[in-house]
Amino acid sequence: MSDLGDSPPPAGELPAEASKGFPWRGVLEGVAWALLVAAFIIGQIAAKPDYESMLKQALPGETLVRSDANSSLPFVFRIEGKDDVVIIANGEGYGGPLVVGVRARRTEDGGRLAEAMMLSHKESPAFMERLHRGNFFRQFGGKNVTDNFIVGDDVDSVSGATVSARGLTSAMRNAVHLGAVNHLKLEPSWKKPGWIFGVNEAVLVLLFVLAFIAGYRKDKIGKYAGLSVTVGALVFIGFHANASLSLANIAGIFMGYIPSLRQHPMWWIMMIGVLGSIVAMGRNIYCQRLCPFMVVQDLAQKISGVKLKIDSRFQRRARTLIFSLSWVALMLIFLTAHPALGSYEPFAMMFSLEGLGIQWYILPASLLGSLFVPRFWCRLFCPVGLYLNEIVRLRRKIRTAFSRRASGGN
Amino acid sequence: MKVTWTLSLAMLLLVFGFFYQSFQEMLQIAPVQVAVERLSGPATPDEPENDEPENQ
Repeated sequence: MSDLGDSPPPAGELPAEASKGFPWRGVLEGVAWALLVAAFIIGQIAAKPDYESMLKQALPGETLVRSDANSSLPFVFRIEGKDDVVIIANGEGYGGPLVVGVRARRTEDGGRLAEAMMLSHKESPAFMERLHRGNFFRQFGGKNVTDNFIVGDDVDSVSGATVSARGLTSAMRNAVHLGAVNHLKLEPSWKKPGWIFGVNEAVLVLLFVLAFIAGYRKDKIGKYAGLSVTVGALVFIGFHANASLSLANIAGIFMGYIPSLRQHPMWWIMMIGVLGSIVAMGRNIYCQRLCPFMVVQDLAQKISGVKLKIDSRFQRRARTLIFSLSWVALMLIFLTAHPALGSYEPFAMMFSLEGLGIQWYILPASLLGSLFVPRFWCRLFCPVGLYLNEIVRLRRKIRTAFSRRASGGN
Repeated sequence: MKVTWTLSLAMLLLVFGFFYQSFQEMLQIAPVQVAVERLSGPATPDEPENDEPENQ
């Protein structure tokens, strides 16, 4: 089902039309790149939030006195006339940094988390909705400042938004423990978060291994491996982890939103697995085997049994269309420094069934398309597939150039 | 091909709708500068219980 061998290739596999006469295409591409760079610079300059003002608006009636000289996070504030401290600290979410303000209060047994405020985040609305609905935030109310604040230890995660939950918890942990040591003068008695490599990470590694086996072996073992990967991609990468690759991931890398290996190994496994398979073997294993939305489209196609063809001219235009759409998306992302704002894919919504506004229409429309056109989204709209295939093509070009040079030298 | 064209155009419109929605969101974020959201109900004795987070 998930083998691209019996399906038409994605848009990125087709050759580009050669331009004739004045190089309009080159000029347009140059302007597009220049505008992207400009948007990136403007976004980086503009995205300097005034956390102190945010805090003052969040805590009206309180006089906040800054009690640190840091130029970057974390920031510490005393509340005048009260034995409270407010700390602003950050953590790493799925879409980028998460910034929270935490108010800690001295109590007889040390200190308690009195209040927490989210000051900024880059998460997809679907992930945040999932956390809200999963009552993730409520468990922090009244927590002791000496608690561990570790997901899986004293904080429960929410399925489908694990990375966001970990990011938020780490931001709270950084803030609360700083307040406990610096302001409440408590001795650290909490556990330090260790490496996170559990069942989820092991399953993801296993899926990559099975995907490689399925790609290389054409016997029974390969067939079973392929079937396991198809089910695993849908159930695990899709519904359980909601970890589909999206334009937000790619843009996030450009903006330096790279999560730590220690806290977010799944992100690293995914990136190393996907890019590694392209570099080492020249295969886009993600689109061929591991994309859960591809499995959903294949299922829709199996249900309908209709296979409308797309001619090569239309497919070439689709390639240009995806580049254009992803350009608009990247402009939005770079200007706002918020990857989720431009990520128009329906993946996060498909596997969490949480979405905002027009996203509710993009998902059913893409599924409707898949009923008639095999892999409708992959072939006509998916920017991730196009970019990954472009990397495959680039690798092929480099290899060809090297072999030509090697044969010329002999 | 007509069906494919129609479906593609409909999807294209929706994606541009998404961009428009995101653009509106972007305009909202910049001038207000506040995306404050109380995460948990304050477990403090002098403040009322608020167990439902406010959306920004």
